[in-house]
Amino acid sequence: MLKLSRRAFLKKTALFTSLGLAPHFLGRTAAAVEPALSPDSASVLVVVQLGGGNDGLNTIVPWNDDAYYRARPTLALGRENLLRINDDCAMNGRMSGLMRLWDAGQLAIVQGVGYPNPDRSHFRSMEIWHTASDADEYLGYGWLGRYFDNCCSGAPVPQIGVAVDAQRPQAFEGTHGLGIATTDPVRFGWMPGSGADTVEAFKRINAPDGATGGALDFLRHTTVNTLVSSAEVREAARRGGVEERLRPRRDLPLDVVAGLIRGGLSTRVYYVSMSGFDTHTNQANQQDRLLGQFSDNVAAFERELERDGNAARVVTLVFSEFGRRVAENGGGGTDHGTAAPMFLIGPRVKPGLHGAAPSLDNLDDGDLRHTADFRGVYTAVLEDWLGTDAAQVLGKRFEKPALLA
Amino acid sequence: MAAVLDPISPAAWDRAKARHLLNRAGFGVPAERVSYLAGLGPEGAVSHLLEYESIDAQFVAPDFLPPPVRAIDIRFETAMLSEAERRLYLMHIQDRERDAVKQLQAWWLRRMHTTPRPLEEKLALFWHGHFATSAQKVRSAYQTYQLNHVFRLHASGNFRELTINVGKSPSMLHYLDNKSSKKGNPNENWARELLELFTLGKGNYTEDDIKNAARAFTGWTCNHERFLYREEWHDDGLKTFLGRTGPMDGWGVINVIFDQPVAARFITAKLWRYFAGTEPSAEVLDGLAETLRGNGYALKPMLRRLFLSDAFYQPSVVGAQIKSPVQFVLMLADDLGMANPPYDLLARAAADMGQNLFLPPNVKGWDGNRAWINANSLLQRYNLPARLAAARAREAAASMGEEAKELVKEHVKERLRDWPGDERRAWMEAFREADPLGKRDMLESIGIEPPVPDAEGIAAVFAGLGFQTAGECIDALAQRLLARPLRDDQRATLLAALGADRAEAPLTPESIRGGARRAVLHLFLSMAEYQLC
Repeated sequence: MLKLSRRAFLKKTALFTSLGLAPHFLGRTAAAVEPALSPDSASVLVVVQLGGGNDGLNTIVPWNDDAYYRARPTLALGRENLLRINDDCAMNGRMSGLMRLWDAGQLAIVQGVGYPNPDRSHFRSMEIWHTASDADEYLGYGWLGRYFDNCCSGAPVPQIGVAVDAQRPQAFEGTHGLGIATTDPVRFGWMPGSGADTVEAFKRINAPDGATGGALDFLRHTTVNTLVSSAEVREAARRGGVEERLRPRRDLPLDVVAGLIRGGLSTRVYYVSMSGFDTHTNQANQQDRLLGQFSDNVAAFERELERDGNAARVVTLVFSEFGRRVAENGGGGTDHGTAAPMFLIGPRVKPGLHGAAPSLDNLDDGDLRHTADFRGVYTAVLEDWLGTDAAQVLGKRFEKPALLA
Repeated sequence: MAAVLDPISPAAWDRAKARHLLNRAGFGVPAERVSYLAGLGPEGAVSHLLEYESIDAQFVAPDFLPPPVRAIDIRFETAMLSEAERRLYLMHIQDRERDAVKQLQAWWLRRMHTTPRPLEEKLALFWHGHFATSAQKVRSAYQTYQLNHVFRLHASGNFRELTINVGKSPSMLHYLDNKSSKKGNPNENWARELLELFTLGKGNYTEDDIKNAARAFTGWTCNHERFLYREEWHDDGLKTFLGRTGPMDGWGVINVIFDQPVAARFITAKLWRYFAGTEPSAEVLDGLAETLRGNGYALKPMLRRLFLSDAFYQPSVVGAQIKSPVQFVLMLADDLGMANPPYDLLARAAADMGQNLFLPPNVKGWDGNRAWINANSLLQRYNLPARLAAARAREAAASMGEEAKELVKEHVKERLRDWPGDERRAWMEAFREADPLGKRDMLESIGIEPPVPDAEGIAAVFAGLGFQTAGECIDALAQRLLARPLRDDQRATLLAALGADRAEAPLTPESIRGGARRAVLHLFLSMAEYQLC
């Protein structure tokens, strides 16, 4: 198995970037191996899901608002645990990585994001974010699935969406079943056994024979396409130096995403997730630790993309299914809430604070009132980054914040 | 000229036809059942499957459904709690319902798999996809089961009666919002889908018909788990619906609907597609729809004609339908020899393949056939057998008893006696580190059959086949697993997987090795042909 060593690969790219060629060049080398990618369709979206309901108020902290300290006598973060953004807000002190991205002008913080009639059930709210539905709508298909179905001329390939995860997210659900999920791209595909049940044998017994055009022919051709598609994923993983996943991971596998991009995979949307943010108790330790992990992962991801010359092609979107209540509960934590900030990360985002921070005085029964609808952020990403008709994907027109440069 | 709906002649009835009938009228083709049906002749076989009421089917109704929760009870239960505690309680109730729906999925799969009335469940599944509601919106597991029961009760009964009972079920009243539809503010959702998706199909009614039908159905609501007709909500004014005028109510609208000839054609076409897997020809559709309508929408006469018809046994129909995910996982359990399959796991697998029981993606249900197949779902289908078999093998190997372990130690010592010391040590080291499957593979590599069979089921599958040569083994497997014949080149690949150089090589269920069994079965289950029934 020929494996292009990472060092050798990086040496190659360093040579080319020193020749002053645009980062798009990497998109074109990928095109040499993959079906043609036109340069303006090379934009990649990475969606990062923080599962459990991340407490927005201890992530982007209204450090000069007395109400914050009144509501959280034990949980409020002290100055020594904060990284100042401006007079109104500061970042959780464990997010030094994210702070560096802020300083480099690569972080957009969208404040107070939620939706009308918020649901505080994990499942239901997550469903709403995945399907971009109203709170009283029940949609089966996801916003990304509908994008996969609608976008792209020609026949979109299954790996147009890749979730580096055990389960395919509901966000990927669509009529054509596009978008794959795999925890181990190096081995993605049909699993051979330990005997004579090899990939070659599998290919032989399913070889199309130019027959009828009936169900069997359809199945065989889909099998061939699936083999090609999964081979492309595996090849890109190997080219990009992605390692085999031997044990389950709890952190964000963004290094795998960087590797797949580096390996030239023709994917438009990647999806990763981490969980544990449901901090009803012990929030101080748990959330800080998780935010630190998240921040380090994302910063490392951006650095890797930068080194590979891919940073300008990628925008990363970060969300959680809801924020948490303003007041701390009796047990060192907070309960399910509503609005929270979203992040957009990358050299091509419009950096800075967007929207309005939700008021801590004018609450809705103890919860923040959202000042931005998450479907607006989706609209910005769909139109200004992925270049598609957002209203067609989302079913409605939403007000679009200017989040991309 | 033989008409396509003429019944198949008893002379043409054979095992292959019986297998085809059972494949479509049920969820699997166990050998004894196929033989039984083969011996009954076509009339007898169809009667056996269709007139199932006389067959005893003892199933315990689900006992895990959370009791219906009423708003007033919640207020009482949570009166003394704080706001936060009350929210937690409500969420707990929701979680309980969600878990119960998952259990219901496994309950139904088990019923589909083990029932002596396979056609009853196959029809219930059809109706579930046709009159689709989703537990995503109808969050009550009880109401979900209630509607499932209606489908079963009326599965092969009268389509008109079934439609009325579905319209009255709390699950449908909730899902399509009719339960809050009132005079002066009617909700059109149920009326629209009733006409478009459930009875007539697009192009056979107008928007005005929908509006008037919605007015007619005002008053059809429910009180917790029971249908309730609220006179005071009903708009009893004059309506014009499909050309008739009168102060119609819901029952009146249903009557007018079923007066339309197209009502018989619409559902007949869907049923043909479900059971035959092809588009009905004009002749087939005309004939079967005629039978349905002529019998006042009683389903049995039409279904009998369908299952006996020559058209149903044509080469374009036999072995040409893509198994639905539910069909696939249940037949796979049989083909892996699983005596007691993990139904919850199978339910999840079916969901991953696109068929989430009780949770269809929308009111259209599932499109089925080729729509089941995409890169994702195909890989799921191809990899599930290996995953399931590996899980069982891991269980079996991990539970190797002390005696067996001693036996293994002795044999290994003997086999490795002539190895150089450091190689032997390395092997033992690797063996200690290996997981149960790895241990199994390592033992086989030095010629020791693990004392615990890799997965009892697989060994039993082969034991039941009766073969004397490698070629006979392949043929017997093909007979059991596939609905279509093998190509010569496929046979050659499979022979090679057995480790045989020619078809005549002697081989019996006793002499075949575990590794060869696994490899050849894996390849069979990874064939495109295996996706067809």
